[in-house]
Amino acid sequence: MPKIAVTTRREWLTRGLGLVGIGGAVPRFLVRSALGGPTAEPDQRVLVVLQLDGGNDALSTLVPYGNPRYYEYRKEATRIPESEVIRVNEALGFHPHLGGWKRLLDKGWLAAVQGIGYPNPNYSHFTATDTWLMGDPRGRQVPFGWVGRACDAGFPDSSDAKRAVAVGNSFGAGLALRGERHSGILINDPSTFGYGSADNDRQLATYGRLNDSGVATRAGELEWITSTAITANAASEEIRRVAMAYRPKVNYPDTAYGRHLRTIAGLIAGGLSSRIYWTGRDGRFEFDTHANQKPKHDGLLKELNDALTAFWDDLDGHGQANRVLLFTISEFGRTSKENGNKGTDHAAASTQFLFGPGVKPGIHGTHPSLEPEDLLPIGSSFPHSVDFRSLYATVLDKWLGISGERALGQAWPLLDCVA
Amino acid sequence: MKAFAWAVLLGTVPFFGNRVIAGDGTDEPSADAVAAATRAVDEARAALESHPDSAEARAALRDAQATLVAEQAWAARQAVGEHEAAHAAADKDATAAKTKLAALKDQESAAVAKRDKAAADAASTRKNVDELTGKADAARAAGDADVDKRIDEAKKAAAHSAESLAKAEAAVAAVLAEKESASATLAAAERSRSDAVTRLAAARDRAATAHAEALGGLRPITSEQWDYAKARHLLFRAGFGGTPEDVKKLVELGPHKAVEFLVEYRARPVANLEFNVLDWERPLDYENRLHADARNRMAEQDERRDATQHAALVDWWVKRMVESPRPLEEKLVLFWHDHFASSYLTLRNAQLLHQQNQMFRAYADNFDALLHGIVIDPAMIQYLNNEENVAGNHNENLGREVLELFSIGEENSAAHRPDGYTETDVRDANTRALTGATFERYSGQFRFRASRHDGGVKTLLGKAGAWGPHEAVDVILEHPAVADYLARKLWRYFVRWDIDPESADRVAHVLRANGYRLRPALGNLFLSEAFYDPASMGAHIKSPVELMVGTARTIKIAKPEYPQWRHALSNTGQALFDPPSVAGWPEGRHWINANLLMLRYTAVAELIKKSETDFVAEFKKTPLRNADEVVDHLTRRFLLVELSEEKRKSLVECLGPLPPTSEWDSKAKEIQAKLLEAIMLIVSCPEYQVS
Repeated sequence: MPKIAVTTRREWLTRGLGLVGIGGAVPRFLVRSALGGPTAEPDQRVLVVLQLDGGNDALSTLVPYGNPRYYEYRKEATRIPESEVIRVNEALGFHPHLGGWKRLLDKGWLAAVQGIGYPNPNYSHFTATDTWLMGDPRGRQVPFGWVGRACDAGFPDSSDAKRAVAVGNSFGAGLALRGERHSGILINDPSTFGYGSADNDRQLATYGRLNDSGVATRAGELEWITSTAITANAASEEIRRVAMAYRPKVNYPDTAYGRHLRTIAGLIAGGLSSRIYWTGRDGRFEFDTHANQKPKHDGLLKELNDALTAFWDDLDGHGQANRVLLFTISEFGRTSKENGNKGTDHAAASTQFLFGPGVKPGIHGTHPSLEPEDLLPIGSSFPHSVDFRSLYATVLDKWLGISGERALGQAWPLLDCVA
Repeated sequence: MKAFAWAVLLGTVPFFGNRVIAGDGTDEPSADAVAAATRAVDEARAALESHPDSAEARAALRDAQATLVAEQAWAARQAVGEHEAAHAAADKDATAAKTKLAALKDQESAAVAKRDKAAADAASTRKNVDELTGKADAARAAGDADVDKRIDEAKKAAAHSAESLAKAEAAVAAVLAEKESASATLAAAERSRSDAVTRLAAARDRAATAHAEALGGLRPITSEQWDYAKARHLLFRAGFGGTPEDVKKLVELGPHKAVEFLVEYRARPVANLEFNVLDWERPLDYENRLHADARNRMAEQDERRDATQHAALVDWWVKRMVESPRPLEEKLVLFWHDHFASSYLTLRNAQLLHQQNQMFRAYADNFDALLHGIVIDPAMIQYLNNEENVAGNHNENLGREVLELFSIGEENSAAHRPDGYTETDVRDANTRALTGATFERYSGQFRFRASRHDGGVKTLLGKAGAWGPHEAVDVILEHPAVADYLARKLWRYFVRWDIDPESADRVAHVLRANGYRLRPALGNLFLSEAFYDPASMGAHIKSPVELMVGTARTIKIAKPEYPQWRHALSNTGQALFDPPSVAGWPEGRHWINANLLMLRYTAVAELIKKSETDFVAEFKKTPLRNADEVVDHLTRRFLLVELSEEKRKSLVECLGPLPPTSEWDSKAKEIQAKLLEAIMLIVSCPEYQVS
C-alpha cells in the first residue's frame, strides 16, 4: 500500500483531514495540535439545524384557519378548530400547543417561511431526506452534504474538526455534515463520549498510540475510521468537559429534543469553536403521521414547544441568545386533504421556522393556495414557492457570513427572513 | 435444452458434487452431449450465415451457444465426479499401502525379536559345548562315563540352535525385503494420491469456471490462489468469523468445498436452537379473554411482560448467531431483518416478530418466497398499517414500501429509469392490490378479508388485472430491476460498499435466471475473483452484530452473558428487532461516528474482559519466543488487516518482556493478565472495525 508522507505541519493543515489515513509518520504532537485548533470562539455566531424527521404537517403547525378550504379538506380527525388556534393574523394561527412559539414571535424571535420545497418533488422519505441532507435533489449522487460543504467554504483551515457537531442520533446527520475537508463530529451523549475500558495509565497511553496515529495501512474504510478515531479522541475530552460542566438556567424537558438542545446550549455557552450544530428526535420518521395523526402530532408539537422555549430562555439567561440562530428542516409537507385513516400522506411544499434574535420576525412568503385547481395532481399537494436552497443560502450568507453560493455550488436568491 | 432451464438445473444442485440428477439432460454421456451441442452451434451458425438478416436464426444461434456452454459445464461437473472417484481410489490405495507397511513393521519387529532370541540360544548352546569340552578331561579322569555322551547332546543342541538362527535370519531378511517393496508401493500410492488431489483441484477449477460461465456469473478464483487469508475472509463474510482452527478447516477443504460447506448449509442439522427460552407469558388470545376494564388495568403489566419476551427473543437470536453450525443462514436472516425491517418499539409484540424471524429463516435463500411471505406477514402488516388499507379508504404504507424498499427500489423508480415504477403504481395499483390483507390479532395468523379488498382492475407496472396481494407480487417479480436492486444490496452486505456495476449485474443475472433463489448467486459470488479482490478484503465496516458475534465466534467465550450483549448492541446502534425505520439500518460508514466508535471499543473490550477465555493455554500451543512474536501472533489472530509498524511497537512495549511460551506455566496468571490487556487494546483500534 503506497504511503504518502505528509512532512510538515503546514502541509498537514492545508491538505487536511481527508488525507489523514494515507499520511506517513506524523508525530503525534502535531496531530494533536493540528486538531486542537482554536479551542474557543466565544463571540462567533452559531447556527443550529433542527430536524423534524418524517415530513411535518405544516397545516397543523401554522394553521390556515381563515381558509375555508382547510376545514373542507381536513375532517374532524386532523383539523385544528378555529376556537383553539392561537391567532397570529387574520388568516393564520399556531397550533394550541405552540404558546411558547407565539411568545417568541411576539418577542421578535421567530420567523416562518411558507411554501418551501423544490421542483419535481420526491415523495419517498429516503430520497426526499437525502435531498435536504445533501442540499441537492441529486441526493447521494453528490459526494458531500450541505453543512460539510458550508464548512469547506467557510473554514478553509480544516484543522478544527469541531466546526460542525451533531448531537443525538438523528438520521442522516453524518451525510449532511460530511465535507471534503470537514467530516463533522457526531455524538450521541457527551457523557459517554470517550474510551472507557482502560484500567491504568499504560493502557491508556497505548490506546492513544493505537488511535492517534495518522497512518492507516489501507485506504478507504480503514482510512476513514482512522481519521474518525483521531478527531474523536481530540474532541472527546474537550466536549465532555464543556458539556459536563454546564449548568443551565432553566429546566429542560426530558425528551430527546430537550436533552439535545440542552447539550447544544452548553457547548455554545462553553465557547466551543463549533459553528453549526445539528439535532433531531433520535427516532425515524417521527412526523410521518399516516394514521391517527392528531394525538401523535399534538404530542410532537408540545415537545418542540417546550424544548425550544427552554432553549431560548436558557440562552437568554446566559447572555448567549444573540449569537444563535436555529431553524427547522423537514423533508416534505403533508397532503392538504385528510386520508381515510385519520392521517395525512406525503406531499410537496411545507413551512419552516427560524428562531432567534437575528431573524426578521413574522410570517414570510405567501401561503400556498388550497384551491383545487392549484393543487398538484398527486396527493393534494401544493406546489412550492420558495426553494429550500434559498433558505440554506440565507442562513449561511446572512447569519454565518459563509458564501451560500460556494457552499451550494450555485447562487440562490436570499430571503429576508434573516435580518 | 433451453439455456434458462439449464441455468435452473445447474443452480439447483450442490456445486461440484458428483450427484446424479434424475431427469432431463443426464441420459446421454457428457462427451456426446457436448459434441452434439457443438454441432448444433455449427449448424446454427451456418444457418445464420445463409440468412444473415433472420432474427430467428440469430436467436437460434444464441440458444445453441447457451446450450453448449451449459453442456460443457455439465461435462466439467461430471469430470469432477470422475476425479473424485479417482481420488477416492487413490486414497484407498494409499491407505491400504500404509496399513500394509505398518503390518510389515510389526512383523519385522517380531522376526527380529525371534532372531535375537535364536541368536541368544545359539550362543548359549555353543557356550555349553565349549564348557563341557573344556571340562571333559577332568571329568573323564574323575570317572564320569557319560561325559562324551553329554558333549554329543550339547553339540546336537548347538547345531539345532544354529539352524534355527539361520532360519530366523532368513525370515528377517524376507520381511525386510517385503517392507522395502511395501515402502515403494506406499510412496507410489502417495504420489498417485497427490496427483489425484492436484487433478481433482484442477477439475474443480475447470468445473467452477464452466459453471460460472453457464450461470452468466462472476469468474471464480482457482485452487492455487486459495490460502489462509482468503479462507478467513470467506468465514467472516459468509459467516461471522471463527477461530484459527475453523479457518484452517476451510483452507484444507479448498475453495470450492469451503464455499459449498457454507452455502449448502441445509445439509447440516441445527440442534438445540429452537425457541423454547420461555413459554409465552402473554399468549396472543390473552387480551381477547379479558374484560375491557381488566384490559386497561393490566396494560402496563402486560407491556412489561412483553418486553421480557422481547429481551428473551433478542438473546435467543444472538445465541443462535454465535452457536449455529449454519452461520450463513443466520447472516441471511440478519440481511432480511434489515431488508424487511419491522420494529418492536412499534409492534410491542414479540411473538409476531418471532414468527417473522422464523419465516426469514425458512426462506432465507429464496427471495421469491420471502416477498410473497412479507405481504401476508402479520408483523409487517401491523408495522406498516395495512390493517387500515381498505377498499375506498387506502393506506399506502405497505404498498409503497413493497415497491420502494422491498423489491424494485427507489433507485429504480420512474425518476431514475424509464421502466421504473411510478407514484401511481405506489398509491393506486399496489396499494389497492394489498387492500384486505390483514391478520387476526388474537391468533397472529394472516387473514385476507375479501369484503375489504378492492377487487377492481389495477394497472401495475403497465400490466392490467384484478390483482390481489400475491398476484401483485408476481407482477413485481417479473420486473428486471428487482434482481438489480437485490444484487446491489447483497453486494454491499457481503462484498464491499462501492458497487462494481458489471459484477453486480452478473449477480443480478444469476438471481433472475434462478427465480431469485440465492444459493446459486451466493455460491458464485463467494468463489469469485471480485469477492477476493484486494479492494474487497478488509474493506467492510463491521456492523455492531458482526463486531460482537464475530468476537464471540473468534474467541469461543466460555460463559456468554447474552443480556449484556443485548445492551451493547443497542448502545452501538443495532438493537435487534428494533431497526430505526422500515428501511432498516443505514449501514457502512453510518455504523461509526466519534461517539459510536468509543462505544464499540468499550463494548468489545468489556466482552473480552469478561470472557474467561484461557489465552495462555491457547497461545502456548504455538512456540513463541518473546513479546514481539506474541504481538505478531495476536495481530494475526484478531485482525484481518495489517497493523502499522508504529502501532505494533506500541503493543510490544505495552506487553513488556515476556519469556518464551515453554516457560509460561509457572507465570500463567500474570501472562494471562498481560495477554488480556493486549487483546483489549487490539480490539480498541480502527483496524478491528473492519473485516
